[in-house]
Amino acid sequence: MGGGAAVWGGFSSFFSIWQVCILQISPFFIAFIVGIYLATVGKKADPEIRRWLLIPCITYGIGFSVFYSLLIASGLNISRPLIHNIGLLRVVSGIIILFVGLYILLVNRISFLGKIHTPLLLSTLSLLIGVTFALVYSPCITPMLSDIMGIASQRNTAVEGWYMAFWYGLGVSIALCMTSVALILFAGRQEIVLRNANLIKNICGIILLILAVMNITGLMRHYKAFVLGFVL
Amino acid sequence: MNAKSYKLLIILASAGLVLALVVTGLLLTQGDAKNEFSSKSSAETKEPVPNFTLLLIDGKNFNLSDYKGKPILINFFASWCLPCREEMPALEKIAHEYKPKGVVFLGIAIDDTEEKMKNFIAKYGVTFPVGLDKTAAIQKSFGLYGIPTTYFIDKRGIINYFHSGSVTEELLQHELDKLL
Repeated sequence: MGGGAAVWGGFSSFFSIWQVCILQISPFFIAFIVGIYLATVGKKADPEIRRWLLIPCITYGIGFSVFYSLLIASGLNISRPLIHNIGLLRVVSGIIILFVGLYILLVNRISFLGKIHTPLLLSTLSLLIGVTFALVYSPCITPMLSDIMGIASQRNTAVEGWYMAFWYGLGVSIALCMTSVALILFAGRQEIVLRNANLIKNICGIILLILAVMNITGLMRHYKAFVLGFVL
Repeated sequence: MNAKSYKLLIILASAGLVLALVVTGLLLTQGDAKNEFSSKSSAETKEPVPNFTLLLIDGKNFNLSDYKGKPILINFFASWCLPCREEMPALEKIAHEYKPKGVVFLGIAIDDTEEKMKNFIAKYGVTFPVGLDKTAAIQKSFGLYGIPTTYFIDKRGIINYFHSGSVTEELLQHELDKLL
């Protein structure tokens, strides 16, 4: 199995029944990207806005894929401490997501935040969101991921497995980013969205705050059990 | 470049990316991947199993050290996990077949609630002991990230093998026969 097949495996899983498992993170990523888009729209030159979305999508993909693949590759020395401290890391992730949610809520209210609202900052936040989402995610093991994990769990093939897990995670991220950008291109120009941009942005911020609280308090398992269980 | 042409460019680039991924995926999955998959989907390991005590849904405690000297199968699952649903009938069938041979079966629900776990157990008619790892302590001690994952522990308390992903009857029989 090569990197291309792994990317395709991750990408196609997003648009299949496996999306149910990805629902652990996908609505929250959409809330994040829509939130930062609506915090930017109308304030910056229009063609720039697209660039403000695409670069954060790339940094999200990198952050998510790197940590996702490290967690998958249990044969790597670095993987064990990450998994053994996953509870603490999820709390820390919750705190980071809390700050990102607050940023989206307050960016138009506090002038200092407005000044630092740059593509660089958004790309950094996206990178952090990517890392935190990999940590809070409990993947359902698809047949292809099962094969990758089998390879990644052996010490002598762990690097090869990590490499494939990285591409698999990138495939999931590409699909998620494409869906989010398509949603923004489709709905972002609608009059009703622009008229209520601030309200929608705030809702996006609140959705991220809910995710943050769920991870800090350990309630995330209730979200998984009830929401994902309900969909199935 | 105006907004409309930029939008078009993004749509075209996205469509091109999807197409490239589809073609790449089709080409690669038709090649060597098919043969490699079946042989590398699980992992052999020779580490001792971490000891733990789990509160079962019937109110009793499952203390792993009490079962030393017996082969043990531990399955981590969640009620909301799709492959866990797929594999549970096979696990239950094999449990009926191998319990008389002395194999101990245990299901551990993670990232789940008690109510949902109980509904899941009732729905799939699971008869082997099951409990909820509320604090994720057992999950962490096994170094578990994804679900489902099944561990095969030999009579000496060594993890002989584990499988990440849905298990089949054939795989279960093959691994359990090695433990007997």
